[in-house]
Amino acid sequence: MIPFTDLVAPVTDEDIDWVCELMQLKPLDEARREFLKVRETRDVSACPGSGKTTLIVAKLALLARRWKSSTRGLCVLSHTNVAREEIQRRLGGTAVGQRLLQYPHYIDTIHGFVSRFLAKPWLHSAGIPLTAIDDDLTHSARRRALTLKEYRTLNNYLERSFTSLERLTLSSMDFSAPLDLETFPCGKDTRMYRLAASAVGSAAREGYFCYDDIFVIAQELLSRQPSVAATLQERFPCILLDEMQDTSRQQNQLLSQIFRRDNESICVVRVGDPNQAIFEHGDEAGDDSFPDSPRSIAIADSFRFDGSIASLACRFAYTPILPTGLQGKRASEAQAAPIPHTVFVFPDDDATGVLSAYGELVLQHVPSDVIASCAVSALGAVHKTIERDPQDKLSPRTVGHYWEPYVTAKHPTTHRPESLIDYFRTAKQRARLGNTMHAGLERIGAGLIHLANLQSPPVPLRAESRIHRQLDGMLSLTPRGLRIYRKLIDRLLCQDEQIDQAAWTSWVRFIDELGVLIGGGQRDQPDAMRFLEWHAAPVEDTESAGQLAPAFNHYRYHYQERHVDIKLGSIHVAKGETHAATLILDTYNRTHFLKALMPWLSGKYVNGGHCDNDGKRRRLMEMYVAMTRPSHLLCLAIRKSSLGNERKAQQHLEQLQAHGWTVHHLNRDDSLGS
Amino acid sequence: MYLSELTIKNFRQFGDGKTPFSVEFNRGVTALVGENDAGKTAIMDAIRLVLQTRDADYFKLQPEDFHITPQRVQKTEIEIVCRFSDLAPEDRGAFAEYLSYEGAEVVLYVQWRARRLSDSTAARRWVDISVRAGQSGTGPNLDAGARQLLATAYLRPLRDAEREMSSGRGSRLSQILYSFPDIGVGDAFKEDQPPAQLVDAQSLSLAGMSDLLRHLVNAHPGVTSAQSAINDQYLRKLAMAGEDLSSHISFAEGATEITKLRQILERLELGLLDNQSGVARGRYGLGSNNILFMACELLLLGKEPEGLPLLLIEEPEAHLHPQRQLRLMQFLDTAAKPKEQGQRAVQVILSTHSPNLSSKIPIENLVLIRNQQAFSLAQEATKLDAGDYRFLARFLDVTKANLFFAKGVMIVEGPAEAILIPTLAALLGKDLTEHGVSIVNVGSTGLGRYARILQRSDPARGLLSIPVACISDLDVMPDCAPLILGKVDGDDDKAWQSTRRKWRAKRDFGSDTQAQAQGLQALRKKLQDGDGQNVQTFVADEWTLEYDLAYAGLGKELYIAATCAANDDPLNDYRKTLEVVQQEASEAYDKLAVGTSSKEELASHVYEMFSSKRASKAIAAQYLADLLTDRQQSGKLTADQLHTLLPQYLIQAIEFATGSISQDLGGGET
Repeated sequence: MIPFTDLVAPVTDEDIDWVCELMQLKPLDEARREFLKVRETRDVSACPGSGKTTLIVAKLALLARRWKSSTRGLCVLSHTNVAREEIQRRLGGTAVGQRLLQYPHYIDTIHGFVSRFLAKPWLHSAGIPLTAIDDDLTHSARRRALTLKEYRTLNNYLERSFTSLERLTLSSMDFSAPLDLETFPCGKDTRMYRLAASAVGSAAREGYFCYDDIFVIAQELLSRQPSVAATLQERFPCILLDEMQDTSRQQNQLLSQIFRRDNESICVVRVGDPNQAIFEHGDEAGDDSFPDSPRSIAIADSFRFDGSIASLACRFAYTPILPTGLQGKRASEAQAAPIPHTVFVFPDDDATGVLSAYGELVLQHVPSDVIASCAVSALGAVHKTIERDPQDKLSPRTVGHYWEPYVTAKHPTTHRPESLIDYFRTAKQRARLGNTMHAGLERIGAGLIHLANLQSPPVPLRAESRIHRQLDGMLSLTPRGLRIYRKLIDRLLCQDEQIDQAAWTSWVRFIDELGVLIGGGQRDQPDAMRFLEWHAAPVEDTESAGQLAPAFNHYRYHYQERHVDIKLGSIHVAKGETHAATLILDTYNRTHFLKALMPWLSGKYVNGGHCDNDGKRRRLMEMYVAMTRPSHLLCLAIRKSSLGNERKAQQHLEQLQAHGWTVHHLNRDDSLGS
Repeated sequence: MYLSELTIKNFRQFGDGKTPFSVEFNRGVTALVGENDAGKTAIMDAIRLVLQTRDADYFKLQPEDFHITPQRVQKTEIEIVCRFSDLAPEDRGAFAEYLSYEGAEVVLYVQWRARRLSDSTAARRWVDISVRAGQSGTGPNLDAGARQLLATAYLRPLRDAEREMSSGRGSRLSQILYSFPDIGVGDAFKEDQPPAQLVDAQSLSLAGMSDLLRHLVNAHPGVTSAQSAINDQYLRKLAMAGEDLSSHISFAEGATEITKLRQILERLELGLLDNQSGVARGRYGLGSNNILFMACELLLLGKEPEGLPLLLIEEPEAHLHPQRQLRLMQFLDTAAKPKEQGQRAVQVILSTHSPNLSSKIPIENLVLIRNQQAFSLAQEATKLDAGDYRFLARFLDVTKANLFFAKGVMIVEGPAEAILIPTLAALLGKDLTEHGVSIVNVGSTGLGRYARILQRSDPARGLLSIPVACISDLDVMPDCAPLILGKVDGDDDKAWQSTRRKWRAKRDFGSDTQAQAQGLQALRKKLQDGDGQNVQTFVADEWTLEYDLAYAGLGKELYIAATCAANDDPLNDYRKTLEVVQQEASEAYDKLAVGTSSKEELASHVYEMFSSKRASKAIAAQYLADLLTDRQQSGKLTADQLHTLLPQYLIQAIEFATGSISQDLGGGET
């Protein structure tokens, strides 16, 4: 195998000038240039706001520019499709960008990679059909395999054992014994095990797999065909793993088995921020070896915020930031006064004044053009819905306790619309975001396939990688279906028609028919009709927020002629975002969030040395993520009692001020403060 | 990586029966041989549709390509599957997401499927084509970039090689030259330091030379004066006040090094030089140009670092005389087994109906295409053993290679049979040419080996429907013959007891007629040992062809023919006339008949003409054939009469070889 270093020429300064010109980048410092130039295995820890994604795109452009092989490519993996979208957005119009998005290169999620290169080849080699990789469809296939009575019996049993049919995972490709006996609550000769095994096994035989099952399938291929690793190294001599800190143990194990970092003929570049490892599902830690310090590059300066925020956030980094801590490089506006990063101390039993006080501060200190272009946010570690009890001594426990109308929305990445109208709405949005209609078309297609599957078709449909082409092909023999489908696309995407209830009601009949023409199911199926029901858009159009009603989960604060919309949400969802101002809300999970972090706020602790359990580590990282969102203003809302008793509180307040915080006490009767 | 198997459903003459058409290919050379309309071209075209070709020609599916069943129903879905085996690590990497794992083997399947959408091809989309990985197309769609790697080089029959090798935009030659490693060698041209000496100019790269030429052209007084004339005398006069119109003549040239190089290469053409004088000989014949063209394609395929090195050649014999054809086959064979460093093995699939080519290709590389079925002659597919392959490689020549194209085959042991049987068959109303039956004369050795070529090792996978009739002598004399032939002096001659004698008589098989019959039956059975499937051995009823002819009823005719053969020289020199010789022979035969007491004795005396070497069997066969033909033409001999005069085994053999074999004949071994 030709090693990667022989495959591409070294990156020259001239190349870097070219990419800076192409992507209109500011001059780059030494660490960033090193990242762009490196052709060997490296770990890159990049602080928040360091322009990591942009740098990755630039690096890819540099590599692609000199790329000669037509059989070997670059592999870029992440947890979301951000990298791909970013390349599309920044390089889509260039020849280099187009090349990157095509064979032999591969840019996708880790899931996408594992399923395309390992799981799917193995399934089709073994003659196992692949109907769907989808949790919901797989769960219903498991239920279908049992009679109602069996299902109830099994489910009751599993619930008593603190698990459920949904949570059972495939652990072996032997579909007659697909479950892990270690974790299953009873032995393999029991009726419950047999029922569960037959449900899981029969769904797998029909080709239904959960998202995480693909790792089991991939592992099966790797153990049966050890040459697969060499095959993939041959194909991808250079692998770039983004958001490395969010990689789960299972993913990391599989990837490092294929792309070994001690293999000198390939180049594995892992990029991430070890201080932002907060997981969506709150589970196990990923890879403790990241970053591997002897072979690492640290990018510690942020373009997002200035030095004042950097110095406040720096001590919350779990892993000390090398070489000299977090640096803030945002150029402040000319003649701007220093912005007071404020700690709002509110009475334990009354958090109602927090948001308005914050809103006022924002309007006072953050330039209005910044407010207009970036979100002003209020974030909490806990945002699940908890009924508010007026007698509760621990309130506020969750984001909603600061503002009653707050609704816990599902996380957008796992969110699948529950009605077709929502598919169409997101389709319209997506088509508007990109320059082409492609993303919108695929969304409409996904919705229609889901509809067809709800109409009890003879065989379940499987969405292919290009759904629009797939549907167009499927409908080519039924001119009526094709006509309805095309008309739908025309009205939704080309003419960008607003859908109101009357229009939708008149469409439903045709769309139901279209579903039948696609999948061969039946009309008027109850599940399908529910999916086709009308409901109003939950999210208002945010385009002209200045004039219209505030958007979903936005609190509007008016002050004189001006107003500001404060976006409430969880720290998780805000990860990766840039805000104009951020307020971190005290919430409760075993203890109050900011109370637990008081030793760091007061300056007693620095970095993660004192975190002796996962909960503490996680809290510190959440704090760090939240603190590094804002470009201009950082605020905390802390319960009075979180500061400690009278004497302690005074000491803490002095320490906070010494570190650069401004303290603002809110009173119960005068919520606007003094 | 090589194309190891192709499966076709519903494409042209191939339907979608119980066992769809499938053909296996070798790593090196595979030659598809067979009669016209057997499906050779359909196979080539199927490969071209799935893999596409590297030339600029675009090959399109036509409505008539959809299979029409015997019930006149046209199918609406074509499915063609290619299987690639023996993937190198680089190939596996390149096709990682498309691979299939079969036990320990890693293979690539490409499934091409065309679905007919509309009856009219005028419709914008009358056909929907998908190309996917996986044996049944369950894998992902093949990316355009990955599919390009599979594109084959295709040489169509009767191509215009001269045009292909000439210069011009995108010429094949420029593409081939471009992929040569040394093509970029040399210095760049520096405008401020033009080469002072010829040596300096010679060290320039091709692109540099192009720059030098541009430099010189632009400085040429003719060019510069023309430029100033245009500017001063015309443009200036046409310009409006204040406008500055001027022109610049320059050498048209590509902007980058790569385009410059390409432009130079496109101006080159390949021609053949005369060997003696070393000067270009101008136009060569089509044949020579074809050779040149194939050489270039092979070179290009072998040099490329990636992609499928597959060359498809239809009828490479086009325009080549037989000796050239043979050289070509040797050449293709070496290309498939390269020894040179950096040269890849090229897989060659060719179709031919040239016995010349077929005889030169190792048998194991042949695939017979018959009745929409493919029959590989690879070692594990036939009943031939390794020794047979070695034997046949030595002895299978052009005339024997006929058997690959025949509808029926008669394998005989000598020239007499080869000469006489076609005439006898014609006289019986079973003209061999008309029935497409080839006679293969194997001489005295290897009859069984030739028969085994057409026997399949696994009858379940289909049998060849070519009837093969082997004609064999029994080689047992009647008891009276040894005396007549002078082998013994009498019944008590010691020679009867000799263990070294090379002849056998009936009495060697037992003392009574019953024992003899049993012994002879066992011998017959042994001679028919290799029978089975489509092969049947017809053993002489009595002894040898000549004896049996005489014994069955053509004694006098054969005696006359033998006498003519004995007098062949005087007859050819006109020292004797045919009528006289025939008359004398006829009288001699009558006299002989009177002097003998049995049919056996009389026929033995006829045979004695040959055993005594007075007459040549082959020449006598010729005379006999003429004699019988004359008789038939003059109305003295009808087919029915001849039927009664011929030995049964010959009649049966002719009927077998000219008859049609139903597919299920010989379904098992007997």
